[in-house]
Amino acid sequence: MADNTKKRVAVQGLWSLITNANFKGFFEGRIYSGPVKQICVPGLNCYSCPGAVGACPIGSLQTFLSKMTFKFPYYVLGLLIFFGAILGRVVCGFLCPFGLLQELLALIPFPIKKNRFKADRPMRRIKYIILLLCVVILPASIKLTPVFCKYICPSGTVSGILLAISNSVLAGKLGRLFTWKLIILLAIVIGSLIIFRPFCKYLCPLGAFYAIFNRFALVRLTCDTSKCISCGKCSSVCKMCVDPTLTPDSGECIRCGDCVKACPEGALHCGISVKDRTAPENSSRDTFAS
Amino acid sequence: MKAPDKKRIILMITLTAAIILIFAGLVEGQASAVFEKAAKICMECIGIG
Repeated sequence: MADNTKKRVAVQGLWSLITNANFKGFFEGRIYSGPVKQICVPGLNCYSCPGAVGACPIGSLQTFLSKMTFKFPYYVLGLLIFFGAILGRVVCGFLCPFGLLQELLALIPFPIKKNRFKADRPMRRIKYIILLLCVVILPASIKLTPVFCKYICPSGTVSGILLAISNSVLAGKLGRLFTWKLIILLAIVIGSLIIFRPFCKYLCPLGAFYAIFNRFALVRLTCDTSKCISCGKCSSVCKMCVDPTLTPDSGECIRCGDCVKACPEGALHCGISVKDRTAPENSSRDTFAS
Repeated sequence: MKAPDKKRIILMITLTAAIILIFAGLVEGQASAVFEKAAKICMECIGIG
């Protein structure tokens, strides 16, 4: 594991521990219900995880949208926009426990490791469809049903497994819906052994939301075109398949910093952006539009 | 107006809007609504329905 990845995994692990600090919940099969639970965490972290001390922003958003009497979700949306405007997809790279899980799975040796393939690019759009359809439109239409949480969210499935281990009453209630969610989780687990962060790339509505902010968030990636020699090292190390010299503001960039480390000229910078620099005009490498 | 200024202005407007939304939500008591949902086991989320 590269030094940069080690540091990031350490931050991810520490953050996951902090936001899942209700350790006794794992043994008692119960969830935390203290006052901190009214604050949404920035990453995908199911509030029904026995360790969770905060609320899941995507679950909370659907709760408001699926209420019988519609209430505009000022609080949750405000928090999401705040996290997005400050950090953009830094949240995905550093503050998401489910992202950490996928990264750890990616470290396991597997016969097939394929990160770049033809369908990759069109498949990235699925997450925006999920955000619009399963998080906004369907919960607002089919009242009392958080569609994304109920039928897709793998973080909830992990929470279900963790609760069922120590809570026999809940374990006895698991049925067809759980089986369906387990199939999705298994597909993501197997996918993570082959592709880097498949859930983040293709399915995560939270990643889709934060992607909107990557263009102008406070923490950004910038490329100094006067230093760039177009060697392509940055795009070749990017596991999210972004070319940072062409689209440093790409919505697909999770700000992992691998490209910054790989750049031999020090042309890339990731941090609080004070200066904007344009991309080289003669570059023709394929990349994601931001 | 140069591009970096535009981005900074968009960021400032977005952050201001976010803070206003958070306060509006707090005034409306939406933090308690989040708590009500988050403090109980979400049956849909864990796959019971």
